[in-house]
Amino acid sequence: MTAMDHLIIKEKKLTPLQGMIGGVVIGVLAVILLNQFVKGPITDKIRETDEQTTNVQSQLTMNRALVQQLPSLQKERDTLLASLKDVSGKLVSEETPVRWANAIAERHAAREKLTVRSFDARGINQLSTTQKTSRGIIVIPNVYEEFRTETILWGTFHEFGRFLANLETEFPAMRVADFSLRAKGIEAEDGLVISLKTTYLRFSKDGFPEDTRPQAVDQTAPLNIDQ
Amino acid sequence: MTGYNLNFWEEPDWSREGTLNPFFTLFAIAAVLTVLGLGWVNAGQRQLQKKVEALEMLSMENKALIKQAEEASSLKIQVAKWREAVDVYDELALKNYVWSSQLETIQSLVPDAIVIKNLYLYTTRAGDTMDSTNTYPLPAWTALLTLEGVATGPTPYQTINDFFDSLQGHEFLSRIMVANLASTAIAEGEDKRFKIDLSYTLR
Repeated sequence: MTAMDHLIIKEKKLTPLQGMIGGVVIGVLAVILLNQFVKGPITDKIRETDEQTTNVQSQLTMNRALVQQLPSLQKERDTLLASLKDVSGKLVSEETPVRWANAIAERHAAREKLTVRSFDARGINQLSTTQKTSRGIIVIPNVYEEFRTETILWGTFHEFGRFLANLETEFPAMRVADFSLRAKGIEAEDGLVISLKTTYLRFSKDGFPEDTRPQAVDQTAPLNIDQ
Repeated sequence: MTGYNLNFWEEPDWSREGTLNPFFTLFAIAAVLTVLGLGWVNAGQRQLQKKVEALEMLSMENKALIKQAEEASSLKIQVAKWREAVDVYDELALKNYVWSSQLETIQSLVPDAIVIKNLYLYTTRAGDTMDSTNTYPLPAWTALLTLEGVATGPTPYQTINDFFDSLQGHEFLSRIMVANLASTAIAEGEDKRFKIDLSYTLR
């Protein structure tokens, strides 16, 4: 009798119980196997690891790109710093805005032989723009805010014209809000009472994200006519 | 109802037709499934190990870059805002209205027979403007410049009208403002007083 003969039998019948047990065993094994394939702990871990890898990969791609930009960003910051230094030299003083604006008005008035009768600080104008979005209207604060002043002067039309021209040349972004020139006598040449409202710019507090607000050059240096 | 049975063969007894011992078959199937299962577990473990190692490598590389990337990220925000600060200043300065040159132009048009007594300027915020020359939205303003004066001489009405026409017809002024002669002579026999409103839209 060969080994094959052991495998071959003449009466090849399983009892129903044997068939059932065999079927159940194979079924359970098949289910376990299928379960391992589809949602077994290893498959889950592999899937989880794949997701983590994808996340880290995208972060890494982003970070690599950012790091690549770093030298050019540093260079650009240095260039902008120089430009901002020029700009901030034409902005109202951060520390003593009233004194600064008063000194500017007096300096230019004295140059043109105008008399400063009074000087007043009139507060801050917040500049902002509005944008319509799907969530509603968003108010975006401007990077600048306006420091308002009012100066009352006494002089002639021509003196005032030169005074204004000098101010506009020195502070190109200064805005003339209102002015009025009223003749006191019959002839305007006798002299005019001049009221001038101007707004100087300064860096806004809300216009910059945290830690990005540039430091203004504080112009509290002596402001002489000869300067 | 009777008919012919054309089936020459009896129904096969499938339990007797097989040549393999059913116990062996069962055992073999169970063994194959078990081997497949164990094989899968082993291959899965190896694959997982490989993936975990790759993830660790990536994480380490990422960790090494994070500090520099954060610096670059905050620098990017800073640079964008600083550029905005420089650009907005330049645009405000460029588009700022130079009232001294405006006054000079008007003054050059005032004839000898007219004396400007009072001159007022009022500006009002009129929202924002964003055009092709702006990088950022800039505040827009409207302005009203009022000239009050008197006209003397033999033909004061004509003098006032001529002055008004010269303002309206001026090449530069007419492009930026709308003139309106509000009133002329107040009383007969006196110097003829007038008021001219010049309306501007700035930016």
